[in-house]
Amino acid sequence: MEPVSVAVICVVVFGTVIALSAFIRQIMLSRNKDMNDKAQLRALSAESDELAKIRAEIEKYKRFDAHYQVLGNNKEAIEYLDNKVDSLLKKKQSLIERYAEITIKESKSIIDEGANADRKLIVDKLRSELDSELAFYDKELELLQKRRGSLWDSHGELQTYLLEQEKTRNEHLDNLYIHHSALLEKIYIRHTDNSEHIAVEDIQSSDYLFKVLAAPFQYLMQLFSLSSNINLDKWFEEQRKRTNVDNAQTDTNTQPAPTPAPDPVPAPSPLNAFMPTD
Amino acid sequence: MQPSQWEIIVLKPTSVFQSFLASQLPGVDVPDLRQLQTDNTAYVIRKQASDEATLDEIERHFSKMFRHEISRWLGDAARNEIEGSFLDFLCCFKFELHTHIVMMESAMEIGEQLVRIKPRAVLLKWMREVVEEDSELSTLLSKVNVNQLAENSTVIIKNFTQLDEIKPFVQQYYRPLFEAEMSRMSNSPDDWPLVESFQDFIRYFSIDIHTQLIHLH
Repeated sequence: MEPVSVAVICVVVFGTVIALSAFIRQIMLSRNKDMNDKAQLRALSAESDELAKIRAEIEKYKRFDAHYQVLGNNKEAIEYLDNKVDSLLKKKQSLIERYAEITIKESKSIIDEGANADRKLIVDKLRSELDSELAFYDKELELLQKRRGSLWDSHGELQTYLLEQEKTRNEHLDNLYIHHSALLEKIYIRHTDNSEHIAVEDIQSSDYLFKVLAAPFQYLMQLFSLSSNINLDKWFEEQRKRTNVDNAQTDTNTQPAPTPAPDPVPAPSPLNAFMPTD
Repeated sequence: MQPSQWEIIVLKPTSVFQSFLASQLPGVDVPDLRQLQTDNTAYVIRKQASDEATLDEIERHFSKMFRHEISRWLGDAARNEIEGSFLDFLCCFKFELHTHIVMMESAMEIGEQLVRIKPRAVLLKWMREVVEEDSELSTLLSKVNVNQLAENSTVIIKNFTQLDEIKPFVQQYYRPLFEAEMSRMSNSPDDWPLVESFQDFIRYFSIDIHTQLIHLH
């Protein structure tokens, strides 16, 4: 190895510590945790702003009504069904917005107080109830649209336009729901210290541990979109590289095995305990 | 010693990032967290005047860091919408900050790798023994774990061409490295444990290798 020209050219210290006692007194104040938490609260607050923006955009939303001028005999019945569709989407929207607020509030409390498995199970139950309720709304929406379709007697292109608009609006709400469900799962996993022990094979288990640790992991896996242009070779190359680094670390960090003592084995002297072996 | 102009950010992947990777290549074994948390990328930023300004700097650069972390596993051309979300970034990685830096290259700008010195539980045990007659410090230390002791531990900016150069390097320079790391805890060598050989050093400390030091300044 080339000799290092300057052994230690400078030790750069932030906040010089005078004595060991002073170091011990400040050790509990984790700057890393504080900074990570602050950054997350910042990002969450941006999520709240985004939610408010989405709500304002929805408020400005203008329902399509050009077809009322041109439809024939069933105009009133169609208008009635349009209103039913609109009120159903509004109900769905209000439900999802309330849920989004709960997930943001819950995420903040996880950052402030740490992850709590029992509270998480309550929110999971709420989500499962919402899942059924939203599925019911979607079914109702489909039925109303079918009924309206059967009454629509002219200008079919306007119906297509209206259906497309309602579909976009509904997808927008579904995405908002998924986004906030994922947000809470991510914050929860991030703050579950022992989540570091999850192995993918554990995901198959079905006990309490599964519910509070592996289930969020598995749930999240379904929500990430797939990256474009993945290079599979890079994946295996990275694994090889990290294995090599791990081996080099282990080699450096492992105490050399003591030289085998000649037979018969003499009693070890405590004085030799800290002596170099080479 | 001089005030640090730099701050090092090490990104430690969490289970959220593991779950992201698992979703990208279904059917391929996802690395376990131990492997994900080996050889984590270190990033250099300029030392800021306040923690708020440091957070601003992290927020300013998160997207570049996120893309780099994804590219290490999925390739340089891989793109995913996740890299635009600051919250996703913060859930996928814990960032660890280091301001206690030993320069063993002539300038930070030419640093490409770093080695981190990590106190082991043996050092914490030694510290507990040293303060056992002081009930206040003893009580404080009884609540401390080794990760807290390792926070902001010394990082050494030193370039290597081969991994097998690192062990001889640490064996040769264990003494100044030990002094640098202990000076973080106390300026008085009387407060330090007795370290007279590399074997002594490696009882109290381990080293982490970071083969990638990315400059964001």
